[in-house]
Amino acid sequence: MNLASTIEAYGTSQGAEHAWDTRGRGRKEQLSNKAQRARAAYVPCTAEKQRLADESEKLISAIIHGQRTADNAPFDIIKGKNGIEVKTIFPGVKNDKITIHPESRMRKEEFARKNKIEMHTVVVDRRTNEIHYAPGVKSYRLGIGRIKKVSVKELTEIFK
Amino acid sequence: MSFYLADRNGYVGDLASINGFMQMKKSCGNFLSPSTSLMRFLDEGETTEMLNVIQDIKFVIPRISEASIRSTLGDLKDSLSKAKEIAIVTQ
Repeated sequence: MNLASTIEAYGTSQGAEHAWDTRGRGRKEQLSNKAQRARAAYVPCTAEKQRLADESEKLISAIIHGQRTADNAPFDIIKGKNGIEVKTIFPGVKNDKITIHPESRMRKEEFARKNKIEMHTVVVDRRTNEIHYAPGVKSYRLGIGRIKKVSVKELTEIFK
Repeated sequence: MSFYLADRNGYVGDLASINGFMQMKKSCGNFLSPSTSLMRFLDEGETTEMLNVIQDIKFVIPRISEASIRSTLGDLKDSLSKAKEIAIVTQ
């Protein structure tokens, strides 16, 4: 490490960690039971899962010729007056559920109302490579309620 | 908006669209090494070192030219400051 990068690093956690280490502190504390339960319930999106989710979004965007959003936009893809939430079910996941938190849903509904757009949910199941579609945005369990399996052609028709 | 932040009590806040998250991660990687708390957090999807991650975000924000990515990082920083004990990126 040269001098410039050493100075630079001290503005980051690397520098801070080094300072703690040299004073013999910075020990990791054990997680409470509640935090351990949260870790089990909210499966962390690792780099591999992020890559799969990114691929799913690119795929759906290409199929419907939609525009992928950037930053913290409430929808993943915009196609005309349609806002699309894309969810991925990762390989190895045992339940068929996708979750939209109530506060996220309210934010999307507010955005949709203001911009007069329709909301949709598209689920890419990476376990089976199937696509599921539902009008609106809410939590769904695959095969139950308004969510249904669709072909690429059917998805294209929906967003024509 | 497919990614959100959770802590020991559950939902904390929305993070970014998938594309927005990936862009943010790429930009941060231009200025931070993979061993920093922020880059580890973005790769592993969880952290218990929220203060260190916030420190990295504060370091990187002024160096990023795209306003949308700065905004996403600002939202992440706000959510991390509310997170209790653990911060998990989930969808």
